[in-house]
Amino acid sequence: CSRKHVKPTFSQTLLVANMYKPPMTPDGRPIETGDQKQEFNDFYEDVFSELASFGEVEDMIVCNNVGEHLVGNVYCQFRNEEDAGKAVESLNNRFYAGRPMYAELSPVTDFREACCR
Amino acid sequence: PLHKRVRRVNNWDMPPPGMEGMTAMQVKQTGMFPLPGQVL
Repeated sequence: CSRKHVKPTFSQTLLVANMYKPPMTPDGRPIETGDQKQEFNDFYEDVFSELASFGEVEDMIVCNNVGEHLVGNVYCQFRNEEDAGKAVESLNNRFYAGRPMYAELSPVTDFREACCR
Repeated sequence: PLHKRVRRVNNWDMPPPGMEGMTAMQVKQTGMFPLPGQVL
């Protein structure tokens, strides 16, 4: 994949790139423990609750991937395009967990068909 | 309802240490928080 994706002007789906930082060991391997699952669930709840304040959320996915441009990406599909647009604008001016957020609209409409070739 | 649910964590609007007075846009322009895989 060339990663040259067309960014849509309108979409129900927003992407916040690398929003979730999975806990790592000092040598850079992921930690897979019960604590990590709990930590992830807390993250999911925190993010979902906030995103739902922009409008009705259909689905929200957090990407787990070895590709560093994909890992921790949060994809959130709203029922209404306007809500996704408002959320992107707002999130780009906010911090999460000590880092600024990079939000954009995503062309993905069906998470099961979201694989890029 | 969702807004009455107690969140176990809240990491929203937590600026980087030492950059409390800056906006998220200003912080991004410093280049200190690039996206991984992004060519600068």
